[in-house]
Amino acid sequence: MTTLLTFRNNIKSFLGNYDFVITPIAKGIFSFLVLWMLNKQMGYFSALDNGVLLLGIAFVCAFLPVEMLAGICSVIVVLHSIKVSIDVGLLALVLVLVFYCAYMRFAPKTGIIMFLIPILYSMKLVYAVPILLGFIVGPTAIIPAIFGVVLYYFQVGLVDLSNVLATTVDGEEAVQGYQYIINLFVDNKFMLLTFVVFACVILVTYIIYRLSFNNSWLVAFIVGGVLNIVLFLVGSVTLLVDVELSSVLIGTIVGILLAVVLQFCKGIVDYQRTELLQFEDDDYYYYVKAVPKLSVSESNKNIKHINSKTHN
Amino acid sequence: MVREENVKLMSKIAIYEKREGKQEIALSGYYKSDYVRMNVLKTVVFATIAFLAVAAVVAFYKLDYILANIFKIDYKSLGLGILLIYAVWVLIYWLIARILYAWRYEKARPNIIEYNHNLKKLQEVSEREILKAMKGVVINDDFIDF
Repeated sequence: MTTLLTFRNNIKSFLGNYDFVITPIAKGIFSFLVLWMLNKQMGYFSALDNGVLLLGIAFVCAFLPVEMLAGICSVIVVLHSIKVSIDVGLLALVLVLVFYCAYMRFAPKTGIIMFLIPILYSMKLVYAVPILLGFIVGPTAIIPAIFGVVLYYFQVGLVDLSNVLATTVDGEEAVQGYQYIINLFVDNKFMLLTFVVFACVILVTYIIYRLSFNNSWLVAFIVGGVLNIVLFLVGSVTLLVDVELSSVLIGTIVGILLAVVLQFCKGIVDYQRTELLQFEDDDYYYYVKAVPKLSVSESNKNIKHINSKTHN
Repeated sequence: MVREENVKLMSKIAIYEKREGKQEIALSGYYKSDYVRMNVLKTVVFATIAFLAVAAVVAFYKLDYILANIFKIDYKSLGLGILLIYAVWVLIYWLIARILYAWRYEKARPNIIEYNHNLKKLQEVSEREILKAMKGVVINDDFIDF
């Protein structure tokens, strides 16, 4: 355990020293992955299916706040939807507009969760989400998680709609895209069940995680995980919907394991950064590098034993 | 001559301006009540936009029904129903915004106090240096524009 803690401290001090390089690189890679996955999932607007363009956008995102990535993702979703049909594009625009007005104004940094949920759906890891959000973000994550689920079903509807439109012969009555998509939402009991389960699990995980008994974090993850499975099972029986039990089980277990790993790494994220500052007074320009005072980790201690005995 | 004390103070001020200060310094220009009221008003406007957007989608979705029953719909009860939903929607946002922005203001207050304290200290140090340079001659306050 001591070795692990030393390792964690080493990473923390490394991140603190090279924050000005690591943060943009990490943000750039993250942005590229999000944009690439989003394009892969939708991919109707062929002009956006360009690796160089995505790399360029990711490069810009590396130096912008994370909320800008959410804004760029919104534009991409709307553009892909417009390519399928104009009315569906307007529907996508309303979805992101409502998300911005109703949520992102208050907590812009967590807005990206909405666009991560469909990506996690495609990786079959979406059932891990509520446990992770419960302890990383807290109850405020319920709204972007719900919007994320809506976005996922919007994408599913878009795939169906584009197939239907592709097989529609000229002269047949045109399919109304927005009605097709909204019909998918209206009768979707499983989507409603997902809303309720996600909200409950996020809330319960957060509440238990904040309690002040020993190992409350572990209890929170396990209770959250069990609740996740039980609620999906109960929901599937009462609402008569098909729940892919294996996905729920695997997702929940992965969620608990990831939560344990992230709990260990949580201390790393709030490292003190080395700041590069520029300011001036009447006489000088100052270029200051402010390095935080950190405790020296065990492995970096270099103990030199000096014996008083002299060798003859 | 570069003075260590000044550099430390200026660095502290610059770090704050670079991080939390970006948003918090703007707060210091308002009284708490004004800041909360202004943001609550903005929130109500955005909540109204969101409500109108959702209402437009619902109306568009139900367009066939609306056109088929355009003379049969009880507009009075429909209008009242929509108004009631809108009132509840806005009330929720009004409440959230009041709590959230009051909390943000209170959270920023100690940081702003410390920032202002550092600025004042820097000003005092500079004044002292100028006095020293003038060899203790008391100078008129109007002479230096801080």
